Parts: sequence; structure tokens; C-alpha cells
Amino acid sequence: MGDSLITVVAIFLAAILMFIFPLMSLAERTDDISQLAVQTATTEFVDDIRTTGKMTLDDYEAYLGELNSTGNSFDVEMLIQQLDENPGVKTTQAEPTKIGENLYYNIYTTQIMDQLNKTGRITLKEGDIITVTVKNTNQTISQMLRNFFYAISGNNSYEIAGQHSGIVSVNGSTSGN
Amino acid sequence: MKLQHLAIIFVIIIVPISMVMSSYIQNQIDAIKMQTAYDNRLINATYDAVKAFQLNTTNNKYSSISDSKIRDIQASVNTFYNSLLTSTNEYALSAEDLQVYVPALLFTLYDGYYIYTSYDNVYSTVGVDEDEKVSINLDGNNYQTGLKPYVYYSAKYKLNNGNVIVVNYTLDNEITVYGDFGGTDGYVTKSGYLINPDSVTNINETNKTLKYDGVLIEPEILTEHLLTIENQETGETKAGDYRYIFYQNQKIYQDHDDNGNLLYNEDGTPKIFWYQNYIKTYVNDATIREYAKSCNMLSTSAFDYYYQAREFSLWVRDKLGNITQANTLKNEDGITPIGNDGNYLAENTGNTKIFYADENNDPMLSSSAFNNHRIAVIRKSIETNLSTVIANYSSTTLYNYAMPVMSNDDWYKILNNVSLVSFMQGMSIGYRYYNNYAVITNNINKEVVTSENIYIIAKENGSNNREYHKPGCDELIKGVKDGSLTIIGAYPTASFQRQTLRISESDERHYYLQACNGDILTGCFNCIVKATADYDTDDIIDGTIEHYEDETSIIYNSNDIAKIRKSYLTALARERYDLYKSNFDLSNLG
Repeated sequence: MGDSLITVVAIFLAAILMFIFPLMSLAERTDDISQLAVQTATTEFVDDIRTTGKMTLDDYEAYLGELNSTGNSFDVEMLIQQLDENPGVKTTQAEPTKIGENLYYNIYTTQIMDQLNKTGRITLKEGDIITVTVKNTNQTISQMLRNFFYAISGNNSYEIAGQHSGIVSVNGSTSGN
Repeated sequence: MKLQHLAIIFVIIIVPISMVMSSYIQNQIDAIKMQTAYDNRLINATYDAVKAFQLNTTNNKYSSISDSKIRDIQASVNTFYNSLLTSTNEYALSAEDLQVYVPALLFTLYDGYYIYTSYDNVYSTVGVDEDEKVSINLDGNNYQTGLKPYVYYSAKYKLNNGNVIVVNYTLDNEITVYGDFGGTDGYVTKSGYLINPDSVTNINETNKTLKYDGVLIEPEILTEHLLTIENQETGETKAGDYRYIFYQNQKIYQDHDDNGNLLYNEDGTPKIFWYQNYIKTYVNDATIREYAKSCNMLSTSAFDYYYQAREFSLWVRDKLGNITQANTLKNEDGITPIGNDGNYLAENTGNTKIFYADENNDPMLSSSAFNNHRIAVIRKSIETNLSTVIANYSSTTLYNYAMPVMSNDDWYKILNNVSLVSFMQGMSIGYRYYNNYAVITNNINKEVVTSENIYIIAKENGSNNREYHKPGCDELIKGVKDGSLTIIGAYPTASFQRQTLRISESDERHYYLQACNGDILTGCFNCIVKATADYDTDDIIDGTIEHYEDETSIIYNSNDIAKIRKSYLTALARERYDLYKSNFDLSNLG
């Protein structure tokens, strides 16, 4: 009787050890790689906008394609802060690049998407700030397995996230390409 | 075997595999993180360098002179290294340490480019006797870092009669043609702007008026708001709006009294001055004074531009009209024409006659065959030179330098603006070496006037608010159409930058060149602040505005935007004509 109890426990432990543990380890590695891909794609997307001064629908869709190729679904949040130097310009003493003497207008994801869908591109100018944050919305396998042992709930239960931001370095082109 | 034993064996096998895997992936993650960090630092340092160039040139009244330009570029190189150094100080202690990782910096300017790299051209003395001293010993031990000689954007073409000529390109539609045309023409050097000559009509040389594509180009009044030092010691300054014209690419202003009445000399010529070091330096030269009087202080640059461009374009049409890309000689040997090899150049223009400018090939438009070919040959020239420079880069590391493949988008950026491309490679990041580049372009400078470098100033009727707009701004077009806005003039983007007058260390005063008449000058919210491109600049040049969503529907016709086109086309021509160009001006002397 005692022996068979130990055997049952042993089988149970062995199953966890031989099945769940490698699976979790593998799933976590997969997430790491996804994380890597997401961060790289986000950085490239933002840096491209920073150096060209424009965001196009094509670029955005290519970026989404790269994110989705990790096999997860994502929530992309974008924020453009447009510099208005005009309050600084009105008095000649003010410093045009100093925060506090200028204004930044914030444009959020939905507004950006509206404009992208309408005109296919958004041009930015030198001094604007672009921020892109991306988080996964689905449960990855590693999250599911972990929830099996201990559950995390709430809004911040993402596993894969990427974020990059920077100042636009050039006035976007308004002709041709 | 017991289950427990099996489990232990399993653990012994799996744990090391899992550890190695996780450490490998962690390393990869670290490498990517470092790569991203370096990318960022490189972009930032390049941006700082370009910004330094921009600040130096827009505030430097002599920035167009060649020596001064080299100085500005060297200052920009220093800024690059300083900026890179502060962000990568775990890697290097001085700028010299960093040079190992930066095989080349490429500065593309208006008519050519500089490459900052290491080179060996030191004449070393190998013997004691006089005649031995002159022998050159390029042993690779005398490498030094600096700017290599300026390379023009040029391409060779084989004419149908077998003669070879050279065409120098620029960032816009200006070209210089030189070479032996054979026959009665002989050796010719000619520079000019290539436009569609058929669009220039109704030329009146007495009144200096003509029509370009239906738009009347006439003499115009130009005004700038200046701050001048009246008394060096007390630091007293005076602000005023002055009329100006260009004489030999330099601005000459006419003085006025405190009530705004224009001043004249005793001989009836306008009292004119150069604005040098923030002081009025009066002009005594009789020739310049007579010129100012004869043109009545009205700028005729726009007329001269179209007039001369038309003549030049007709000449080019006659002499080079048959040239297609097949006539281009290969960069590698300079002898073989590329012929039917459509892949040699990045843009294949096929059998289109490149220099035959007409309505189908209007060099003013970015989509023209001329422009595509221009971009392709400049790209080829830079690629050839840069890859050689980077491959030959000599340094103490064992790393093999190689030029990275650059995307089409990056080339487009490089070839349409003044830009700085920086290359950084050889830094160890985990299991591999870093190799990347950054392209930062600049469109606020005095090097080039691109079609987007013109802003139009419009004044709201009945107020003292002036706003500057991009030519394709919807607010501007609507306002001008319904009469609520009046166009004051159009000026290059550099004129809207804040100017700094430094009296002493702690006393700096600022002014804006276009804040004339006591008005408040601000950027339009719709086009400048939001940077929205409502309509393409090409469409303004072309005369009809089409809607983005539906390419076929014309929403504004030529009449609606006539005033804007006039102002824009005049300003574009004037600013291009008055741009200081050492190469261009010299070649026209002969």
C-alpha cells in the first residue's frame, strides 16, 4: 500500500519534471525570442520615423506584420508629441527649444490611425517626439503554464513588451516619395 | 529501472541543455540590446553633427565660401566624436580611440561630397641625399585622418560622334557640362539650370518679365528685419526693416532714416550697405551703386533664373538631346558605356532622353527621368568611392571593414538633401561585431534650395499676425482663395530660423529675419506645427492639386492657386539663382 502511494506520487512528480518543466523552459525561451523580435522591430520602426520624418501606412503594416510573425497578438500604442515653437517665437528672448516656453500637442493612437488610413502618411518635423509601446494581449504558452501554478491577473499581465521613443531629426518630405 | 532513476537521468541530461540554451539566448538578447544602444548613440551623434553644421551655416554670413565650409564641416566632425564619446565612454577615453570604429563619415553637399576617413598621402623622406628625399614611400605607416578632397557628383557620357563629355550634377536641377564636343563646337564648359524651356514664354527683357508655365514672373521687393549694432561699447542695437537685393550672391540692403524714408546718396544712387558682423558697412563701389540704382532695388533674380535656364536648356536639348542612360560610361574604368545593362544603375530610365527637357521630362519635378537618372549616377559615384574607402580603412584592429548595404529609402534621403552618413563598425557586441550606419539629412541650411525649402508668408487681413506656410497647406490655399489672407512673400526656410546676435558672453539678442513691420510671425498650425502635407509640392509646381484619396479628382485648379504658385515659383527661382556656388560661378566666367 505504502509503496504504491509513493509510486503514484513519483509518477506525478516525474510527469511535472519530465513534461511540464521542459515545456515551461521552452515556452519561456520562445517568449524571450519573441521579446527580442518585438523590441528590434519597434526600435527599427521608431528610428525609421525619426530619421525620415514621416510615418506611412505601409511602414506601419510591415511593422504589425513583424509583430504578428511571433505568433502572438499585440496592442500597439503610439504617441506623437508635436512641438509648437510659436509661443516661444512671440518673444524674441525665449529659447525655442526649451521645454516650458513651447508647447507639445499630443496625438494618440486612434488619431494617428485615423490620419494614416485617410492620407496614408503622417509627416513630422524636427523636434517632434515619437513614442511606440507594444504589449501582447493574448496569453502565451508560458503564461498559461505559469498560471497553472500561480495566477497573475490584472492589466499588467503582459509577457512580451517593447518600447522605443525619440526625437525626430528631420522635417518630413512633402513631395514625391 | 525505477522511475526515480529515470527521473534523475532525465534531469542530468536536460538541465545542462536548458542552461546552455538559456545562456545562449540571453547572450543574443544582450547583443541585440547593445546593438540597439549603439544604433541610438550613432543616430544621436550624427544628428548632433548635422545640427552643428546647420547652426554654423545659418549663423555664419560667410558659410558659403569654400574655406569656411571646410571649417564648418570639421567643427561638425568634432561634434560627432564628442557626442559619440559622451555616450560611449565605456569604450573609449578620447575621440582618437573612437576613430578606430568609424571608418568613414560622408558629407553630401550641394554639388559634391566629402569623405572623412584615414588616408595615406604623406611624402616621406627615405634617404639623406636631396634626390632621394623626393621619392614617395606610401608604406601605409603614415595614415592620418581627415577630409579627403571634394568629389563632384559627376558622370561621363559618350556622344554619338565618339567624344566623351562630363556632366556635373547637383542636389537640384542645375548641371555643369564640359568636354570636347568635336566639330565646330570644340571644348565647351557650360553651367545652368535644366528646366522645360517650352514653359517660358512672353519674355520682355526691358521690363524683366516673363511667363513660366503661365505664371507671370516680375521684379519683386524683398525685405528683411535686421538687428544692427549701433554702438559697440554700450551694446546699443537698433532693429529695422530693410529692402535688399542680391549683387553677386551677396545681400545688399538700402538704408532708411528713423521714419522709414529710404536714403539716397548725393549722386542719386541708393544708400546701400552690406550686413557684416551685425554692422552696416556702407558700399562705396560705384559699380554696385549703379547696379542698385538701375534695378531700382527690385530683385530680378527670378527673371534671370528662368531666362538663363531657358537658354541653357535649349542648348542642352540641342547638344545632349539624344543621350540616354546607355551613353553613360561605367564608373569603374571610365571607358565602357553601360549600353543595354539596365541593372548597372539603381534607376533604369530605359530609352528616355535624359537631357531632353519637355513637359514629359520636367527636371523641376522629382518624378522626372532626369531626376531619376541624376539620383542613380550620384549614387553609383558615392557607392564606388565609399566602398573603396571603407574597405581600405587601416586601423589597429583585426576587424575587416566593409560597407554595409544601404536601403533605397536611405539613398533617396541622401541624394535630395544635405546629409551626413556615419559608419560605425568593429565594436564587439557579444558573439559578433557591430556594423551599422546612420543617415541624418538636413533641410535647413544655406547649401541648397530644394523644392520644399520655401515657405510662404501670408498676413491675416486687418491684423498684425503673419504666418508662414508650406506651399501645399490647405489653410493657405483656402485663405487666399476666399481673400482672408494676403500673400506677403516667400522666403527660404533658413530665413525663419532664429538669428543670434552676441554682444558679450552673457548678452545675446535674438531676432527673426521675416518678422517685419512689427508684426508677429508664427508658423501655421496646420502645416508647420502639425507638419501635415496636405498637398504635394510637385502639384504646386505642376499647377493642379489632386486629392490623395482619389488621385484623379482635381480639387483646386490653376486659378485657385495662381497667387501661391506665382509667389512660390518666383521665390524658388530667386533663391536658387542667388545661392552662392563656387563651381557654378567660376565655370561661367570663361
